[in-house]
Amino acid sequence: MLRNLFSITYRFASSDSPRKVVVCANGTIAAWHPPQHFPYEHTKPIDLGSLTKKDQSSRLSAAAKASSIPREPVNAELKDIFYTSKHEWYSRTREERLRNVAAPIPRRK
Amino acid sequence: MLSSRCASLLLSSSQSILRRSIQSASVGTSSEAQVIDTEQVQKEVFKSISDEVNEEKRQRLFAVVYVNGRQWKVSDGDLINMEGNLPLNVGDEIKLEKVLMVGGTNFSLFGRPLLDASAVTVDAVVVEKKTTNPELHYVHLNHHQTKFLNWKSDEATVLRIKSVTAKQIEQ
Repeated sequence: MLRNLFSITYRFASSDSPRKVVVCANGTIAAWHPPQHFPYEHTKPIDLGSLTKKDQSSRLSAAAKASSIPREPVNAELKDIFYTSKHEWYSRTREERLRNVAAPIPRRK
Repeated sequence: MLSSRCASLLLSSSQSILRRSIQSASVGTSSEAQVIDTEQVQKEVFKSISDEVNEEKRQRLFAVVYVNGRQWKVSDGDLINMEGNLPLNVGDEIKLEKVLMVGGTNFSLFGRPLLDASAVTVDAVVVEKKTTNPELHYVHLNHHQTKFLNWKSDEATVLRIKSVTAKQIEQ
């Protein structure tokens, strides 16, 4: 981290860039980084029609995967939909039973 | 035998000569190096930062503070949840003094390791002291007839960050 900062300091301190990093007398590192303007002639228009088509044809989201199954999904399908291990979807019987008889939330005086 | 010994001696002497030449070259280049434009750039940067900070327009800074054993990146209006029963009361106004970094839209200040306490001010107020939801802590040792069951509930203190200011920045 500090080594990178020093190298950035060396590179920016002597250049004509508006962004500069300096080290002060008391050891503080001060950085001046105004946001850089992106020139208009370097831009290109965006095709909005293709974006909407892409959004409509997307089948990779979890909701789309879940809605394509006509019944409630089983653990194997849930594992594939949410990219988790199978143990995530097992019921924890001991924890659930103990939670029923759990102590109430303690009240502060 | 003699020829091999002479060859090894020659190799070692040539290596030492090479090392000396490399060292002399590096020493020459490093001694010839000069630092340029440092003071001017420092003054420019600090003038820009002071103008930015002292400007009348509404600005929002962020700070990285160290409190209760961990670092937080905070800004105006943030809520941070600190664990443990801290000796604070609801409504207390406190000042977080271990500020590691302060930044804004155009500038950043990094402390080594901390920034000056008089330059940067992070004010906070205690808004809540609560108890967290009980969590199950279950220990079962196989073949040892040992089972522990504990419901653990910790205390927490919630702070509201009131303001992050960096008014008196000096070089």
